Amino acid sequence: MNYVYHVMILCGIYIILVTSLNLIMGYGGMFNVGQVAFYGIGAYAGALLSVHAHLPFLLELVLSALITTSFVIVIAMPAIRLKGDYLAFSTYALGVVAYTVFNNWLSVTRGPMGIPGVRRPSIFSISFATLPMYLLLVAVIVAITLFVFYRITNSPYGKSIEAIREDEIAAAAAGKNTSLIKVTVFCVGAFFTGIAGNLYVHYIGIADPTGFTTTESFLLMAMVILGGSASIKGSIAGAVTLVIIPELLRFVGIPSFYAQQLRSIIYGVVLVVIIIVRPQGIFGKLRF
Amino acid sequence: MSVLRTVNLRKSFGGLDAVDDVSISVEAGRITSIIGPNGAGKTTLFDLITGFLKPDSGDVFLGDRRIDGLRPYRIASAGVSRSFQLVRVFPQLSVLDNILLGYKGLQGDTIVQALLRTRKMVRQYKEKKEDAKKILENANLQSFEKTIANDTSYGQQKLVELGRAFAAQPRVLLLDEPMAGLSMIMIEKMIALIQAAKREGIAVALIEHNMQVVMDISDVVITMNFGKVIASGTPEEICANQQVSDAYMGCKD
Repeated sequence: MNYVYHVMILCGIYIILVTSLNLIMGYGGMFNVGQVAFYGIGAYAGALLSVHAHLPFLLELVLSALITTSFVIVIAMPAIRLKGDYLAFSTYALGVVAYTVFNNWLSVTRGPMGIPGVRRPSIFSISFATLPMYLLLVAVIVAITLFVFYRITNSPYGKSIEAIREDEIAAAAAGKNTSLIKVTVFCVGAFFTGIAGNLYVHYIGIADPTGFTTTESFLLMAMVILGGSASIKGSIAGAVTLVIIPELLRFVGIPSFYAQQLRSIIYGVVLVVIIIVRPQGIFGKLRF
Repeated sequence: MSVLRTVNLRKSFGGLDAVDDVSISVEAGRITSIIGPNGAGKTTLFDLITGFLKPDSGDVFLGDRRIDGLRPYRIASAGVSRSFQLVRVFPQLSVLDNILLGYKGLQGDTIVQALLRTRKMVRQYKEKKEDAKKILENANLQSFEKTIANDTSYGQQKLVELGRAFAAQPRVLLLDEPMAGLSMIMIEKMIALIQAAKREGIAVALIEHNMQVVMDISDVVITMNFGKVIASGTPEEICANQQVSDAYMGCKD
């Protein structure tokens, strides 16, 4: 049963990550291959605040999300001038830089040793240390996240985001402040990704670089593409599917050493199959 | 009454004077056509007016307000709507959504309003949907309301783009070659919509190569060549003024 909780907690964290990425990539049309950088910043900020500042959890959560967002504003403002391939490369480079910093800035991140001792949180003296309680916490935050994203995307503002994806010049000619909207989309995505990073680090108990490699960004993109871009249902479907499929390997009796390598193969195969068979993804309506 | 005015507008690209000391005026409730050979600077002039290009010198006035140097979305918000030479719709959105994106100042237009999702926002959006459907009816596109814009024909996309410009309730409408690539029936539809705009008091400026249409519907014709305005007047005056052969101008009297 603990195992089921574990998988569900991971699903929840990835739902938040994928929904955020889908806002930026699916609705916004901005290729963000560096999502893992935001995830890692949120995680490390949370770990540092938790271990060194002992702040109340909710405050720490919001603060690490804001720290992530601040980094992203600085990155987003030049980034939104880039399109397509150029933006993809730049954000990929961002992911590489982030990993390198996490792995090498020994005085702050302790490099490969990571920041251990991140404890399960308590809110108003209710402890969320056990798995079922932590799952409850994650579920509530996922619900809030989906609520926020639903409201953003199902509104005139959401349509403006999609208009910018479709034709930025036409959107500007229709009176939409395209630069502001693009930066805002990055920031909203960053905020919730930071929250996901925080949830991850409190779950695992340690912030360490191996969780934030660039492969992780490709996994997130695969989840977006599989589930369908510009679709909240799609984000959920993509996240859950690609969290669960590799876990099913355990039941087929494959030793965990191989399972690790097989994961990457699985993601690749799923991605290729989906692009051939149903390019818009499970719930998507768009084609790239 | 002059709604849109350019004063000594200049724009060069390297050694090429694309727009060379152009001063024009577009009046409310009038159709002003801008004609001239390809490369005369007509679209560049529109780009300068709508903020997609910055003038090297000169001013653009909307009413009493200087708008040159502003970003395109600001100029659009101020009341200048345009269409593009190569039609720009939002291809993967529905026809109705395309029109709805033209409306300005909607409740729910900002992220905070979207999050609050007030009853006012929901109600207003419903009203705008009905309004957008009327715009589609005027263009005879009502049955295409749910169709993805990409799946409509070129002519239909031009009408959708025009509908989006109308939804903004502009003071000035700048149309770049609206008749290009259209069948006779579509041309008539387009003319009907443009004349409806004129009746509503909108200042309409067209760039157009279709001389028949230009002569039939224009109140003022401005001729450009090599970046300069070389003649300006009523359609009859322009035709009479012609030193260039009728074949170039296509005047049929």
